Order: sequence, then structure tokens, then C-alpha cells
Amino acid sequence: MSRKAPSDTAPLYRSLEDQASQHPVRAIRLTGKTSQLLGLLIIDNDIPAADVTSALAGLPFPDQSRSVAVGHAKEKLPDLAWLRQQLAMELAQVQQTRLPCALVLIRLSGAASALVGQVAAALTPCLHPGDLLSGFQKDGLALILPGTTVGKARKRAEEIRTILRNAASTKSASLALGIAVCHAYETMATEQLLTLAETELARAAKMGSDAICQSAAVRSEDSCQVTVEERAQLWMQPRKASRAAGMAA
Amino acid sequence: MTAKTKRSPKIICISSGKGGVGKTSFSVNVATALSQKGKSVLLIDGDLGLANVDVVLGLNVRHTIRETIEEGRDLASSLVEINPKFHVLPASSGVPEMANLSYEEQALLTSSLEEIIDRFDYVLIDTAAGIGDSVLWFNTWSQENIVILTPDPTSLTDAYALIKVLHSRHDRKRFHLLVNSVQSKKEGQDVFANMSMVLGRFLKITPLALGTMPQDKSVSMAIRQQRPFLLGAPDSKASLEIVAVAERIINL
Repeated sequence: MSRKAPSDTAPLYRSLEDQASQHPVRAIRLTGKTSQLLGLLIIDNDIPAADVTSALAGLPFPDQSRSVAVGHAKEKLPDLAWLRQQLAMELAQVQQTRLPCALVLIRLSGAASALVGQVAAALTPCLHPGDLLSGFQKDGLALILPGTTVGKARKRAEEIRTILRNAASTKSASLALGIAVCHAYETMATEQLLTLAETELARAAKMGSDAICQSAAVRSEDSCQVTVEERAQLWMQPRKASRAAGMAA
Repeated sequence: MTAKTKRSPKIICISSGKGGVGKTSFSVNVATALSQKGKSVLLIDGDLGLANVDVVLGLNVRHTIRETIEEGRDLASSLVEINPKFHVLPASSGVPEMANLSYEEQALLTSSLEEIIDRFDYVLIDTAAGIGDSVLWFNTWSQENIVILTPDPTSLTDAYALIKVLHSRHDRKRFHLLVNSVQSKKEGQDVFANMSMVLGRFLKITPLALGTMPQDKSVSMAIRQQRPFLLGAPDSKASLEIVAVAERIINL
């Protein structure tokens, strides 16, 4: 049997992804070191993201720790339409897995579009299994980080900033990074998350100095902070509790 | 991926928020009690950088989880048999890097654990104190979450904060509360009732009562002797309660 050319399988994978979108499953693209699409992993939505990661880490691919989807095109980064589609799928996953999803937008001001492709390649070593990278507008990149809290997204953004600052190709470009996160406790549409991230990106760009900004709306992660009211109740002694109950009555 | 095994163990995480409330002593003794009831138990020391399980048991361990993470050593070779029904997976002491595993290291540890846990009925994880990454990760990996608290306001606050984070960010819903170091059963019941009220009012969580452990001299003596108090003082109040707790765990 003669070996299939890569272009023979691209329509197959797209077809499988379209079919998968009609079912309660998640389609993860598996790519190798050259970003060539190697295959498609289809996993039931009920499987937690952490288990997916564990399974992906055990797959026998040369670049198994960096299996990242960068789209079906070999040379070009996926575009905004692809990003929207992937983001919609990931946001649906948030409700299934109950794990947050972060979106990081990266702008390289003063960079040519050819440079953006080089930057994407430079970022590949820091990407995790399940991360989704695409182009964003003509001078930027978008990175979807499934299962990532705002704190971890911030750390990832800082890591990306360091890599880009150390890369010769980006020395003349100014960087800005904007982060937005969708949590399981909030219902968020694709455009809403994109808008939040774009707002933070614009804020970072205005601040300059390679700033990273994250969405104030999802600083509600601080909702985990124990409030004054909660503390007061926790520390109430049994006799005080019954006295308070008696006064309330 | 959950383990594709004939027998899936019950994975139970034991945390507290605050340190020093008796997690490790509880974990060791309830594991001992479960093994005495014929259940095979694996106790994982989840305090990956400041191990305590081996200390409480007086073990001199040669290999720990660290070798698996850093050298790819088979996790099974690090298991220590306490008795045929009770094994321990020890952690390392004085290794701060182990307290902050990377994403890939966590995935490696998860897959390594899933290769060895299917021979056990119960897998207990004695986590570190606090609400760091490893604590949260072990709790989300587990099926049941036990939170240990004492009547002290600091313990109450930290236990509440831990539950709040696990519920709000990781959608955990089922919490079993164990009130430790109580002067009387009534004190334990009052602490549980108050915590239940706060959890219900602010987080809409209804916790489950796992038990109340009395203050008992035999506990501190056993810790100094580096053996479970269940073995050193089987008729003590603490031992009787730990046996009852083990029974409740079996009935979960």
C-alpha cells in the first residue's frame, strides 16, 4: 500500500472534527515537532481534563510532552475563525469538566506578519498538551489554555513574555499580553471571553513595557477569600450563637 | 483517564487547611484500622516536600515519590509494606521543589499512581497543609474529600477556606468533616453544627459528619513512640473512635 500524502488526511480530520462537534466528545489535534498534524484524539466529555493530560503524556509521539494543536495548515497559523470555533468548544468543555479555560492574547507591535509565524514556533516548547495556538489579528497570537486558572494563566503569560524577550526576532517589537478566564460558575459566550481578553490586551498595550493584564471580571477568583461575614459566623461560640438566635427571634 | 481496572479503589483525600491539626496521625491510624478490617490500603504521603507519614510510623525509607518524578523510577518500588494489607508510598523531606510540581510532573505522577493503585481497596492521601497546588490537585484527583478541623478559630477558618476553594474553583461538592482534639463529644458536635451552618449559608454545601476525635494522651504518646495509637492503645477513646470512623468510611 502506497503511503498517503498529508493532504489526503487533512479533509478526513476536518470531517471527523465536524462530526465530533455534534457529539458530547472533545477532539484534540495531535501535532509533532514540525506542527504537522499527526492525528486526532477524540475523548468523551465526561473525562476530566487532568485525566486527558495524563493520557496524552503517555502517548508514544516524539514530541509527546508538547502535543499542541496549531491547526490543520502546515505552514500558516490558524485564523480568527478557527480560534472562535476552538474557543466555543473549550467553553462548552468548561461546563462539562468544571475546570476553567483561559485565553491569552499576545500582541507584537511593530512586527511583520511573517514574524508572527516565527514567534509561534518559538513558543512551541512552552506549550502544554491541549493548548491551542492561533494567529490573532495581523500582529498577534491567541493561546487557549484549557483547565487553567487566572493565576496559572498569568504564570504562563510571564513565561511567554520571557521567551519572546529572549528571542532575537522579537527584540524590536513591543509586547502586550491580555488574559481572560471563564470559570464553571459563570456562563460565558465566545465573543464575551474574546472581548474581555481584547480589553485586557488593549490595557496592557497602553501600559507599555511588555505589560500583562488580566480581566477584572474574573478576579472574582478572589471570591474564594473568606469574607468578614463568614469569619464572624465561623468564630461564633455555641452560647453566643444561641443568644444571637434568641435575639433574632 | 480513570484507571481501567477490574477493581477501582476508593481514593480518599485527607486535608485540613491548617497544619498541625492531626492529619497524618489520623491518616495513619485510619489506614491501620481499615487494614485490620481486611481492606487493602495504600497511604500516600501527599506532603511531597516535607514528608511526615514515614516519621509517624518510624520508617527509614530508601525511595520516595521524588525518584519517580526526577528519575522515572517505578513507583511500585518505592512502596513500603507495613503489613500485608497496609502499604505506604512515602514522600521526601526537605525538598521544596517537590512541593511545586510542574504540569508535566503532575501528569507523570498521576499516570504512575494509576498503574499501582488497582491492587488496593482504598487509597488514602495525606496532603500537605495549606491550599497549594499539590493539595488542590490531590483533592480533585480523589473521589472523597475528608477535611480535618479542630475547635480553634484558625483551624476553622483555614478548613472553611480550603472547602471554599475546592468548591468554588474545582466544583467539589462532598466533604466529610472530622473534628479533632475535642474535649467532649458535645464540643465536637457543636463545631460540626456551626461549620455546617456556615457552609450551608454561604456556599450551599451540606457536609457529612465523619466523626469527632477526643483529646487523648495516648495519641501524643504514640506519636512520640512513632507507632499508631490504634496499636499502642487499642482501648483508648481515640482508638475506639478511629475504628468507628473506619467503619463509616467503608460504608461510604
